[in-house]
Amino acid sequence: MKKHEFLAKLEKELAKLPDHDEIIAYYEELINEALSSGELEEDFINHLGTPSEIKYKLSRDDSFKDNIKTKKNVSARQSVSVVVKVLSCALYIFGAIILFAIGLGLITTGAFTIFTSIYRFVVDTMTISAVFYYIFTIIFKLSLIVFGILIFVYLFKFSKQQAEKLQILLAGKLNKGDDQG
Amino acid sequence: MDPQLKKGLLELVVLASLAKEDSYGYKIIQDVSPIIEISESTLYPILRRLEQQDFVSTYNVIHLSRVRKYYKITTRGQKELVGAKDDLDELKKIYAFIIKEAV
Repeated sequence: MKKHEFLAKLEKELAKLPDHDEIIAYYEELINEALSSGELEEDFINHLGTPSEIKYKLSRDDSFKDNIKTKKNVSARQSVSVVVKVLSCALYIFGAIILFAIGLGLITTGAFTIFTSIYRFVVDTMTISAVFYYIFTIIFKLSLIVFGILIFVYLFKFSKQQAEKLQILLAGKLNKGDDQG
Repeated sequence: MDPQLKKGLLELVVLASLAKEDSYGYKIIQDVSPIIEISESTLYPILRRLEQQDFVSTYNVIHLSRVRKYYKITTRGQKELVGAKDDLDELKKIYAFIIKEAV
């Protein structure tokens, strides 16, 4: 290989390395020195190794490796953690929907049966035990309603929290994308 | 030689070769090769690390149409060499021990 061909190929191989300009200058200087010391161009360039071999050796060097490795690890770890957080938020929302359905069911059941109990209470003839029975069922159904309402309140607060979290996460991810781009 | 061992020593060897006079890539390889095997692709990262740690500084000399990048040892680099001497004394002891037990 001749000098220009070698350097051109080397430039292509090393394009991604941060100090590729310095590396090319280094090798060009070596070749020039070798030539002016009387070495043969093709022989010396063969001795240097192929551009891809050189790229392999230089990429394996620790200082390069640390830069590339930490960068990769950081972004991989960040992506995984974001995905996990988004997934758990989604799971929370799913669970919230189920709880919502249960709460709704409890409230309507409670409300409906309270009305029928009150109606019966008013309309039917009463014995003492019947009175107690109706009072007890009314209290029970009232507590169902209260319970359903509590579920709703909790759900509302919780989903608000999760929605905010999700918003921040997504906004953060987008911002991060902008920074890196 | 064991690659780990060699890596640590090579930096010191290159640094030592600059202790007496400034030098440039091609010449460093010429001077060091008889002592320890070193290739052009090995030397570059070493010089880069030495410069990053501020053990050497560089300057360019333009001759005709050629540019030569010279490496010069700094005071920090010289201190590093002096410090390394203690390590090397320890290395001599270790070496003697291994030789004694290995035979």
